This record gives sequence, structure tokens and C-alpha cells, in this order.
Amino acid sequence: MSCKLINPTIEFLRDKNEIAEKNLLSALKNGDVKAFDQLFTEYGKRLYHFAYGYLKSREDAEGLVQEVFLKIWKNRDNLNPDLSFKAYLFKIAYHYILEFFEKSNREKAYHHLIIEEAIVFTDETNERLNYQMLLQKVEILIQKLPSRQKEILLKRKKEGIPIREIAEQLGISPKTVENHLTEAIKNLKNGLGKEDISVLLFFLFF
Amino acid sequence: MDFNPEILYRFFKGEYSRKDFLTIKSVFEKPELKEELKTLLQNHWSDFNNEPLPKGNVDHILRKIHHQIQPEDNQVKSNRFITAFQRIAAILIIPLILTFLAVFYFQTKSPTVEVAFAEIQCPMGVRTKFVLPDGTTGFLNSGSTLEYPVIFTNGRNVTLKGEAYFDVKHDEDHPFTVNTQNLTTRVLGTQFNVIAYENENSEEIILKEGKVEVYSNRGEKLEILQPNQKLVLNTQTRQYNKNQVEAYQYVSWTEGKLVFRNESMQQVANRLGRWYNAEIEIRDPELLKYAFRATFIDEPIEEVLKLLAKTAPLNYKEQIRETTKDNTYAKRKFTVSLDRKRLDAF
Repeated sequence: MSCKLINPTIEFLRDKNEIAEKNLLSALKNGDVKAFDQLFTEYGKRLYHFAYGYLKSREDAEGLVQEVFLKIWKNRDNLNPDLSFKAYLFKIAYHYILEFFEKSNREKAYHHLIIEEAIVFTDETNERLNYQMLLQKVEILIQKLPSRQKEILLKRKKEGIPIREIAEQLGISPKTVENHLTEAIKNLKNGLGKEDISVLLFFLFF
Repeated sequence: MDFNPEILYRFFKGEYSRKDFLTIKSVFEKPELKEELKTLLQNHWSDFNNEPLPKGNVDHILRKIHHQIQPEDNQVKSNRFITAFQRIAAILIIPLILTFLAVFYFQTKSPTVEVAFAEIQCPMGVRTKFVLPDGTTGFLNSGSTLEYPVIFTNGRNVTLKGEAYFDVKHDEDHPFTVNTQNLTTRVLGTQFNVIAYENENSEEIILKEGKVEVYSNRGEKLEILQPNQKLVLNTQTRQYNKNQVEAYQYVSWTEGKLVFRNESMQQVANRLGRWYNAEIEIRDPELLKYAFRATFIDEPIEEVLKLLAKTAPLNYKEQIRETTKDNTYAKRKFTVSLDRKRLDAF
């Protein structure tokens, strides 16, 4: 019996929140900036952390939140206050998540290429190595390379410039470019030595 | 789809293997899995709404959004403001203001000291070094104009059209401000580069050393820049972004170097045009997707174009120079077009 007494109160609270949100959405539809700010305060941070989980970049997650809310503001005329804002927000955010995910993977593809060159993946490392930490480690190691090695590595792997052309640009011989490249990969390999990467193994499955 | 949602959650939390990553990547990239992925993410989103969030706030994102929606918003407001009542009030108050102004004007006819302004104009194809009255030095790039008061009385304010590099003399009591069409940059003493050409739809501030504050022309504070950061404002959408850059690339023009770092064909054409006082026309829109990376020192324009043609499938041709009415030659003009025969080689 007591359950029946509690339930209506919860229902009532939920309704109250829904009514408050409905009012906010109607105000937004009429161009009320304050209502827009309130909705942002309610959902902006949550969307940011959701996007960050998938995009793994603060800049991208911020950019996404900006685009999504800007779109909500621009399309405020078409807003239906009777539908759930949470669901509407997701509908818009989903497209941007796909778009940003694809874009950032294209831009960061060279990280994976460099890792593949520096580490021989076995079944074990393929499944048990914390790849996110590995990516972060590689990024740090690249930043720490001597500037000439870093410049040549990025030209070759990030921008895909042929060795001959890098040589021409820098006014050095193709052989020297290759040596710098080998040296850079060797430095990365050393930085990712066996002991160093064993720290990154997961032990949860064993 | 034989895809375990657990992988998605592992990825989300940042505890994933390389195998997990490759699976996620292929799921995100396959159009046929789009609907299923959407359902998965949708469920995740509704669960995520009940989870506690870390500390911190995202107010700065809201500020950025406000900056973008404000111009439109102001319009809406001003339309609504003019109610019938206000119209009547305005009609009543106009004669009052006019009378007041007239009285004020006749009473203050005594001579006032006017602040004199000086202007440095840098012609096309040339770079100019300047020294301002307070000891600030810098360079003005091709086709730019810098206006400054002859005596720095109330603060140190200069106005720039085009591109300039400033090495500001440190003076904590008198901030140095650079006004461009859309931005105001405020500094105490630093080295930085400003790009604000009127015919391009972006303005850029690049900081080499020290600290600068960037404001919009409406006085809102946008960002504080640290060394090696760049702020880009898109003057069309009013969207702005802060990125990490290598500042030396942006100031190398002061040493006579022409540096392109991943710059689009359009940017390259604009910069070459200003640098050499020439006109460069891009014939094929397909060329716009190419980006360039190069450094030139003291090369004639033909040599630069020749080298660019080696790194992208393009041809260039110099047009016959027209003579103007007074029998002098007009600007040199080059056309750049797509070389379809070499398209496969790139």
C-alpha cells in the first residue's frame, strides 16, 4: 500500500520537471536567450563529456557542443515543445559525432601508422595493450624527438610527402632524409621498449 | 551485427585495446551499420544522463555561442523595441535633443587640441619597418596601412588594415592596443603578429612572446593568448577558434621569407598576389582542395609558381601585360589551372 502512496509523488515531480522544460522550450521557440542559456546549463556539460568519450579530444568535443547548440538556436522556430529535448539534442549531436569522429581519425591516421611501424603487434599486445595510453605515449615521444627528425617524420607520415621531395624542400640528400627517418623510428621504438609498454597492459581479463 | 556494446563502453572510458579501436573504427565508418550504431549510442546517451559528471564548467563554450548568435539577436531585439509608445516618445524627445545640442555647440566654440594621426602605408610587393613614438617597433607587410597618434596621450592605440608584426615596448601603465575591423588586441609588452586584410574573410592574431588579450569590436573579451597560440576569427560567421601553432612560421615574413604551412590554394594565391604585387587567378575549382607547404627566400614569382607546379597537378601561365591609360604596365597577371594529364601522379 505504501508503494502506491510514494509513486504518485514521483510521478508528480517528473511531471513538474517536464512542465518546466516544456515552458523553457516554448520560450526558446520565441527567441528567449535566457531559456537557451538555461537549456545549455542543463545539458551542455553532459553533452561535452559524452562527445569527449567518443572523440578523445577537448577541442573537438568543445567544437561539437558549439555546433549542436548553435543549430538548436538557429532551428528554434521548428522546435516542438511537446517532445523530449534530450532526444532532440541527441538527434542533432549524433550526426556531428559521426562527422567529427571521421574527421579526427583522418587527421590522426599517422599516429596509427607510426605505431604500426614501431611495434610488432602480437595477439597479446593487440588485445591487452591499453591503446589510448599508447597513443598518448607516442604523441609525447614524437614531441620529444630532435627537431629535424620530428620535422621529417611528420612530413613523411602526416603529410605523406615522398622522400625525394622532402630532400628537395630541405635542400639535403634523399639519403640523409632516410637516415633521419630511420633514426626517428628507432628513437620511438626505444621509447616504446618492452618494459615501458608492459605497464600499459590490462590485467582485468586474467 | 556481431558487435558487443561492451567494446563501445570500453572505448568511451578510454580503456580499450588496439583490436577494440579497429572494431570501433570500422563500425563508425560503415554506412550500413549506421542505424544500429545510432540505436547503441542513443541507449548510451539515455544511460549517460543518469551518471554523475566530473567537476568544472563549460561556460566558455556558451560565451563562444553567444558571440556568434548576437548580431542576429540584436536585430530581433531592436525590432521589438520600437513599440508604438516608444515611437511617440522618440518624436517628443528629438526636438529636445536638437535644442540641447545647439546650445552646447555654441557654448563650446573655444579651440580644442586635436590629436593628430600619422599613417604608414606599405605599398604592394614591399615590406616596411616602423618605429612608433613610444619605442615600439615592427614590420608592415605588403599592402597594409597602420594609423597611430603622433603623441601617445590617452593610451597607445593604433589601427591596422592588413598584416603587421609588433614588438611592443613594455609599459605596464599604458596598454598598447591594435584595432582591426573586427578585433581589438590589448597588450602590455610582447611580440605578436596580426593579419586583418579587408578583402579576406578572416582575422588572425599570432602570439610569439608574452601575453595578449583579444576583444571583439563590441568590447567582449574573447580569449587570452599564450605564446605559440593563434586566434582565427571568421568574419562571416563570427566564429572564432584558438589553436596551438609554431609562431615563427607566421613571423618569418619579417626576415623576407615566404612560408606556407599547409595553406590552401586560395590562401597561397592571395599571399603570392600581395607579396609580389601580382594578380593570381585560379581557373579550376578542383585546385582549391590542394594544400601547400613550402619556404621561399628571395625567389622570383616564376620560380615559386614553378616549384608549386611540381608539388601539385597545376599549370601556370603569365597573361600578356595590359598597358594603362598613362602608358605604364598594369599588374602582372598569372592564371593557374588544373593539369589533368598529371592528375594520376598525385
